[in-house]
Amino acid sequence: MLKEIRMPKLGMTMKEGLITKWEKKEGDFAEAGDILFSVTTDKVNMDVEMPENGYLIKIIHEEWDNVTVGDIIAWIGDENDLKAGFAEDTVSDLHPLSVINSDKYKIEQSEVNMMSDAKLRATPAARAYAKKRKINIDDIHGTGLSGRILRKDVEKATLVQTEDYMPIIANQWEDIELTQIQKISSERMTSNFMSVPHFYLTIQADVTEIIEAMNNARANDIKATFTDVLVWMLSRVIIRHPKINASYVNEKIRVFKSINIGIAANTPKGLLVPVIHNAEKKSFIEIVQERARLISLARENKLLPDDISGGTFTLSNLGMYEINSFQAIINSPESTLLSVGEIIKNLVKTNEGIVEKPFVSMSLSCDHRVLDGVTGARFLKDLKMIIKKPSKLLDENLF
Amino acid sequence: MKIYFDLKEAEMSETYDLIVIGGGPAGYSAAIEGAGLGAKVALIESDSLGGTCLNRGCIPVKTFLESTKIIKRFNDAEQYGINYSSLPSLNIENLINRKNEVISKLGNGLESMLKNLKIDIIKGNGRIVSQNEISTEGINNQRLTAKRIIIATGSSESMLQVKGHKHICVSSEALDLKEIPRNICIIGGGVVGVEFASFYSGAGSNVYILEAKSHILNTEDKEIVDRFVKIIKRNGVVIYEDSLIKSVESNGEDYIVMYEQQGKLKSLSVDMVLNAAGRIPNIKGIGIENCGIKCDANGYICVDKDFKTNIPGIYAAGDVIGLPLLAHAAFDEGIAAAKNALNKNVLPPRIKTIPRCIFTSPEIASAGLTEEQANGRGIKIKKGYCSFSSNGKALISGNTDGIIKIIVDSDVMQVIGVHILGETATEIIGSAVYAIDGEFTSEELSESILPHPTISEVIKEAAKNIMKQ
Repeated sequence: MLKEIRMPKLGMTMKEGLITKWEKKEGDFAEAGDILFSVTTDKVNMDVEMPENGYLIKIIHEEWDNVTVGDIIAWIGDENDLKAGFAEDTVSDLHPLSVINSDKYKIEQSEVNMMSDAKLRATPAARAYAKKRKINIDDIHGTGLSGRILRKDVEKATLVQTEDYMPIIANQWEDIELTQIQKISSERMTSNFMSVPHFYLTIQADVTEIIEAMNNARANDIKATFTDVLVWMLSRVIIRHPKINASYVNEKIRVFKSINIGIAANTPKGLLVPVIHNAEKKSFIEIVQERARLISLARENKLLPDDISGGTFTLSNLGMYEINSFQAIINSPESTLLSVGEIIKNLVKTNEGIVEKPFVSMSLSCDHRVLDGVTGARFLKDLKMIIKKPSKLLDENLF
Repeated sequence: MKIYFDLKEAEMSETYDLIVIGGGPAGYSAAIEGAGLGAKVALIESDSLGGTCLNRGCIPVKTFLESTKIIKRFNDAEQYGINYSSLPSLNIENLINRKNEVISKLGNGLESMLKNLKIDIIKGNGRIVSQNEISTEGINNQRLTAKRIIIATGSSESMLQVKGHKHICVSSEALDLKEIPRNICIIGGGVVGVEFASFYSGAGSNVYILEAKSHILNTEDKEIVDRFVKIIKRNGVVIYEDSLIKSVESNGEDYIVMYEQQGKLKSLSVDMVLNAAGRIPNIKGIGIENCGIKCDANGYICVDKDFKTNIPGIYAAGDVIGLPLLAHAAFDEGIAAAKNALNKNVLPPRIKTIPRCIFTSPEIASAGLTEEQANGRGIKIKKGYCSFSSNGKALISGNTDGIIKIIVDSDVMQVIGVHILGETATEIIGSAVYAIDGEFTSEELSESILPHPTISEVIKEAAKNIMKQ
């Protein structure tokens, strides 16, 4: 009688496996224990053996097929089956469920597997202990009978996990209490990083003209920083790219009318992001003044809730710390964040020959639910162009 | 001449894969396991097979207790709608005969099982001569060679070193009693003490227990013991706590027991004094000094987690290695020692729950930690109870004097201790052992379906009691 060979479940989390090699051909005889084929998952490689003496009648999934756990991979049988040959009709009569392989069946199958695995492998107390402490029980080595995971195994694993983060001199450490800002920040960062699907785009822009403009401004007693220039430029470029100034809210993309640019600032109490509201309506001088006001309030710990809320875009500049480039975590619910590195000098081939020019590297962190790569890339390209030729900002025809 | 002698001795010497000294629970289970693993095994026993448990302990005492339970049933017969006119009385001759019959049936069964497994049973005193040589002194003086040796010689009652100790009998003597004493003083309120107290009290004696500590059964859960004490006191057992025996004198008719209680010397007049306190390991005459086997301060043989002594090839198991001095622990130790000695089917050593049973009336059975032990370890606990008086089967069988107490740790509600007082406690504690070893939580216990009407339902009810908190 024909018997099916299914994709085995090689671990709690395994959903599918890749057949890497068939060791037998259709019609081959194999003894119980002979290797039929090899399977690989993201975690393990395993050989699947012939369960009993017989012939490999029909291969359903070839090499390099990715097969869902529990799905039929092949049919085996005895001499009579080999003579009769393989016909889809016969097996569908014999095993209606296994051949139809409806979605419903698959779900049930995997649930059953998961439950029985868990029951076999860990004691109730071990599972309860792991659940309470949010520890993944799959990775724990069981020391009970037949490898059963006991409570002490989980307790030990908990200790090991904690010890992993200890400094090298494991018996000397100091636990530093988090400030309220750090607590909120750690919770939000974890949540942002875990729940927002990030992607990053990096671009380099020629800042020769900006540096010249800044030097001119200084000469005119305007104390503008590179960040000020960027905020001013961003506010003008973002207007043309609505999805950069948006949030993912209840399966909709909410596009904001005003551009409120937050500036990540290091304060004695932790990371804060004061916001320059309606930046698109502010003149360059107004932006310079507003930023100076916010930063000094932040350093004195005097920011009001309004000063740090309502942001639609965040700018984080670590250039002054000689960071080349970096990718920051999005400040949710915003969908974009620009990480700016230091200004470095590159050799560039121009009509005048090879010259040294200052460049800045900028990375845009994006929420993939709101925008895709091209949307982000177009925005960066415009930004790069404006940075290179700030004079274009004054050309109203362009914007 | 010398050469001839050696040759002769060599011819007489038999070589075994495993020789076990002592035929009690640890010894015979080691021998059975060894034979099952294909080894050539000899078991040396100087007395009857079965050890203390079968011949002088668990089995005979429980046989006696069964008789007093029947007396109690007769006394209560009318309540169950049975007219019964004469008062029941104990026929000591028949009592002893029945006990001997039970012992011999079990003993014969054990002997034939060992023989079927081709285990050589050698009668005599086994004495270790060297690391792999044993001489036996008995019917045949033999010299045996063994690749591995397991010492399972058990323990014996210790003699009290007080004035007049010759008047004090030990439990093995009490099992061949000629008559039921009117008044009996039992020294020691441990398991043996309270079991004998239960028997003699059921047989009509006035029982006095002298307990050196502040309460009897001091290793059991205090709450359970307190309830038990109330019940046996109601049945006429008198307990003197914090009482140390000083001397026993005979005045011709009675024995005068002198004891000290809270600094005051007191006396008690009885016609039998039974020592039920303390046991000592049987290490004399087995030749442990010949190869320097290490023992602790109390004389128990020191072994590691694999039951190895300090001498390669020599293992020990059972009472001779110390606590818990329980037959069912000895079975397990004997099996593990044999596996390790023969290096077959060896499992990593693991902590197993050893249930404790006291066959009194009513019975006490427990597994895992007591409330005091849990508190001592700093475990935060929750407790659940169910009284036998609310259990249908207990009511039917007239055994409502009982309670179950389940202790869980309040972190994940894991069952860490089960304590039962009441008839059938010793039968239903087995499921608690599974629950504790399997690391069940009170949730599993409260949700399983148990047969109705049975006393075992109290387990589920007590677990539900925890879940409601």
